[in-house]
Amino acid sequence: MEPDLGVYNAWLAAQMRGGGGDSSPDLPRHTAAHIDADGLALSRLLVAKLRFERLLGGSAAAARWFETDPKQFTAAFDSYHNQVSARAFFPSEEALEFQTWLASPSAQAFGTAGRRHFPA
Amino acid sequence: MNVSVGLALQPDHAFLDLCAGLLREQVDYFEVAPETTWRSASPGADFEPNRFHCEFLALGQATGLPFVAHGVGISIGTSPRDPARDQRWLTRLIADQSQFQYLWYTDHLGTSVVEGSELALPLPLPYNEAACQATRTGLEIMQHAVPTVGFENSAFYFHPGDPLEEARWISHVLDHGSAHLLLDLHNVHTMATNAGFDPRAYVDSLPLERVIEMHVSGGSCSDARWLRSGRVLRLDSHDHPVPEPVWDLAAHCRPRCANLRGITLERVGGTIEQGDVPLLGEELRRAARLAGGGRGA
Ligand SMILES: [Fe+2]
Repeated sequence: MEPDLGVYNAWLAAQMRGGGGDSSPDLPRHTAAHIDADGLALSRLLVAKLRFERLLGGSAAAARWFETDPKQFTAAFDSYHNQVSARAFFPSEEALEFQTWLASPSAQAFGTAGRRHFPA
Repeated sequence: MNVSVGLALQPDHAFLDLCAGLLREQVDYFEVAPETTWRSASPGADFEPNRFHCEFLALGQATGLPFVAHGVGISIGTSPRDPARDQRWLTRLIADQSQFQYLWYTDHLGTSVVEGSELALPLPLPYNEAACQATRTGLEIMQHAVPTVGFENSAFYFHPGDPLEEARWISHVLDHGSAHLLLDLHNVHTMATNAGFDPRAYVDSLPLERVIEMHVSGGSCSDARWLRSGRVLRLDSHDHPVPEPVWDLAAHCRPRCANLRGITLERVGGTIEQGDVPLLGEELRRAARLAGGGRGA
């Protein structure tokens, strides 16, 4: 049986989130059997990669942070990607979203570094 | 019908400089991703032209060659749609159409906006009636900006069914209305390589008489460290020359595409140097021979 489009979209949205589909609804067994787990994981990775590139393309401060401390910046990005649903299409919009997140209590762990790279 | 040859313009000055000779002498049209000519001051704000908007238009004026649009953002298969988001696209596209006069406008099959999330990657839809209707609705919206529209078969890395079923579902989507298919042969090659199906069986199930444009391009492979399994998958990355299996597939399809109007070579910026330009020229000549004409044949 084909999945209902609403159920499928909910499944897809959950699968493409940073965490990777933990709270994903089930697809009909026939559909699920066709899904290549590697292809799904690659798609999730590409979605994150495109967002990462969008952010670096839109924010010189983020690009500098990545250049000076790639490990810490990547951890901050992962956290952002896991917590904040992507609303931006253009790099400049992604940069604003990231900056807003960085100033929020959810980004507390990166607050000091964030303030250094994104002074208010 | 005269089949032309085009090159996808990249928003990259190094690419445009390297390809200047090819763009003047070996192509009949330019393909533009409209979104690469826009910028946005803030989320939700109206799109404004960026510097490539003006530079691409100047190229069209200098050469007298037409444009076709191949979008990357309207998300044809999104359901339910966000009217404000659609309006944002349409407002800019309608303004662009008065200047670029795109001959046709395509985007990618699938959905890149899911439950409001901007994923930027076209993702597959189930091959059912609801997804068919969603796709037809997306195409109708595109027609508000450009009368002649279509979608490209995307390179999906997973499939919610038998991938050959997708080709038959595409036929069903195109059963009604006047939309066209942009047949991307590297995308077929990529999916066939990764999923292990016969690419000819896939293209033979497509409504090839509805193909308005063909894409030829190359790609590379994912890094073995990317996936826990260590598996390497072919990517639709447009960063290498067109491989022979793609040319073979193009030659197989060409005689069956009775309404084909253009063959476009795709190559992303940042992946060519001066030494690659003669090969790009040869690829355009090969596309022109396949087209049966074109300026570079
Ligand atoms: Fe393509």
